Amino acid sequence: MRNKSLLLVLAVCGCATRRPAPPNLTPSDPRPLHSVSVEDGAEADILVQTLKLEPLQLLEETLYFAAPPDALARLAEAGYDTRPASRMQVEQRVVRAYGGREEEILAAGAQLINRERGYRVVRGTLAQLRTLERLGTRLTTIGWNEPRPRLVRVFVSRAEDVGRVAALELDVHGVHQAGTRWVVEAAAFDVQVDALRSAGFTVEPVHVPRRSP
Amino acid sequence: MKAPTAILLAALLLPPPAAAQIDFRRFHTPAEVDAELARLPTRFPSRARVVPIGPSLRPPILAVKISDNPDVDEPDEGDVIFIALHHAREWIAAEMALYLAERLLVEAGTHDEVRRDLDRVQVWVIPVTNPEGFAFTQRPPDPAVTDPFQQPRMWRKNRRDNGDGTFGVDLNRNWGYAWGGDGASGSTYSELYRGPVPFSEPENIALRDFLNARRNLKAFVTYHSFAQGFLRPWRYTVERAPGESTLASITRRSIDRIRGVHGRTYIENLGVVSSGNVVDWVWGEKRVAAFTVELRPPEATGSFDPDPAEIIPSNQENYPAALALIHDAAAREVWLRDHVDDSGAEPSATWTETGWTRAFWESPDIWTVPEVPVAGTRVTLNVRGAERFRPTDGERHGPGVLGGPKHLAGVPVALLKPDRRAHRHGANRGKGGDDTVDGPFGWQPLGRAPLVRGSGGEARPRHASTPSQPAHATQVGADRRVRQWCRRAPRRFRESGDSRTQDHPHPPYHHG
Repeated sequence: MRNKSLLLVLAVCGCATRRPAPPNLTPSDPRPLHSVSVEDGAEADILVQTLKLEPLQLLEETLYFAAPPDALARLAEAGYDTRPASRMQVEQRVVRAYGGREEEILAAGAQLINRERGYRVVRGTLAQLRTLERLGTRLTTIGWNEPRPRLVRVFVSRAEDVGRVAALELDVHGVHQAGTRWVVEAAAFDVQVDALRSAGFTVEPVHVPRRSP
Repeated sequence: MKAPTAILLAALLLPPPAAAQIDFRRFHTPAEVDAELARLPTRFPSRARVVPIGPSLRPPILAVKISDNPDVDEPDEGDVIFIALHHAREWIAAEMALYLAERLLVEAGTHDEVRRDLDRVQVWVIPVTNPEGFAFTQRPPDPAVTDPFQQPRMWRKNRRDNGDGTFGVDLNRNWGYAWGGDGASGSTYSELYRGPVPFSEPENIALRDFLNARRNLKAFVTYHSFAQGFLRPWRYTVERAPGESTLASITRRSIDRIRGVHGRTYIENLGVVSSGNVVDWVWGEKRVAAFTVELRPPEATGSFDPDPAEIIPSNQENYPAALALIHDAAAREVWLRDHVDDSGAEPSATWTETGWTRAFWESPDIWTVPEVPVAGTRVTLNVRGAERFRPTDGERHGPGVLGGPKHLAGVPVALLKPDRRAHRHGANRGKGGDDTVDGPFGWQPLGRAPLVRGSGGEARPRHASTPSQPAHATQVGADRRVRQWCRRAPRRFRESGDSRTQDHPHPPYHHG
């Protein structure tokens, strides 16, 4: 009896610790953030290595970084135009969103990654996610295995379209011909499945049987 | 329990003796991989050493060095590097690397040719290049998750905390050559997340620095799964890479060798691109032959969690291809440019009894990098299979004699005169007939390392001192960065910091 009670307590504690907590929507670093335009990743790599910049992210052609004391001056000497950036506008979180509507998520500028039972997995900047909270969406942290893609098969009629499928950043596991069609086996999030279907591709989920141990 | 059964059970349960071979009937855990690696120097003390790559990493990346002199770095010997498990879930790749290391060491004692090759190259085998991710895949499955693809076993990336609630960077999208292009993602949650900047990941930094420290790198292979493919650069684009004919030659030869074991036909192309991968970096930055091998199972029916029964045949069929790369890298030749317009970006051709060939082992300009071909420099040739070099115009005009006995070592040769057969295969082909065009056409010595006769009588390479080296077309990537840097950065950036920059054309960053 005592053992059963102990197990019950442990189970309750386990559930409690696994309950998703609200996400931290404050910047992770108090230091000022800067940005600079670069041509490509190679140039960003040179700057990071040479000036010991601490990169937050390279988005398109803009490198966001925290800088050691003399780095901004050295960048200016080299002809770079550095600008202050807002961490609220740059730092992102991936969260669970309970309630609300998909239109609100998209209108806030956030990205809907996956639709799960009872909630959605959303990615947005700190500012975008705060907007969603103000609209009444409850946000929590994601689970340890989230977001996870689903295995899918994408059917295309021409070999050239395989490249179009891959361009949507799917994790392509294989491509093979089946009759007159090409089959792309890949892992994809709902946002990618939506994009594939919008582009006119046929997408079907793949069931992977669990192998006995 | 009957006595024979008890003995059998005891034999299965007891740890293997030190001399026992590795059991490839099942997948090894990270601890077991490390333990098997650690046993190799004990089993083969004169040939194997375990070296940490990026020792500050926790857990560290471990390499086994296989050489005739494993305690000493011998830059005059070529380096051939095999890595595996860049992607955490591809366990069969680590098995291949372990198998390769063990079989090389065993055959070094039983096969003269393998021993000779290992006397001439340093082979590095790194079974696990994503140790954190590999450890994560060992977690027990979550019973609440019904989709097996969402279990830890299927984790692909490393375990970097991306700071936004997600984890992991795809280590094979994080390399600095063509980073940020197609086939990779800027989304942190993606399976293909390339990282915030190139080389953001400590695992890749450690491996990059290790590769940069190898001054005589000759070949590089990274094992993945699945799909059964032998893939060559470029992987970031569908465009052909410089040296395509050589790379294709190696690829097809390797596929033939693989097929010869169990009849499996590996494919040359997956049909999709992937930017920021390691083989593009090795080929793009160093112009060293680099290949991605996708192991079993086949792409149409396979998975990342194959039946363990696939391990042994997968290992067996891939071993001969790996051995052939090592064998070619062990050959000590000075390669010739076959025409003056040969930038080194395309492989040379070599005259044989039956015509000009582009066979890999006869003309790999790729062996010459990072050193630069030097037009007109006097070199000393060591010609393997010299009987294949029959009299040519060049032979008559050169101060040395091409042709003659096999393994002709120590023959000085200067820039050679035009050769008509070379002409037919050269840049002027089709512009005026085989024998009618005269001009700046001929062979030039293309010495990775001019060979000089050592005191022991054996030809040994020596790095050339060539202050007026022409720009090498194979350094396009680096040159582009240099131009970018020169355009933007003040001179003192380039002059400060690492003293190597004083006599080195590269700015002080670590791109090789």
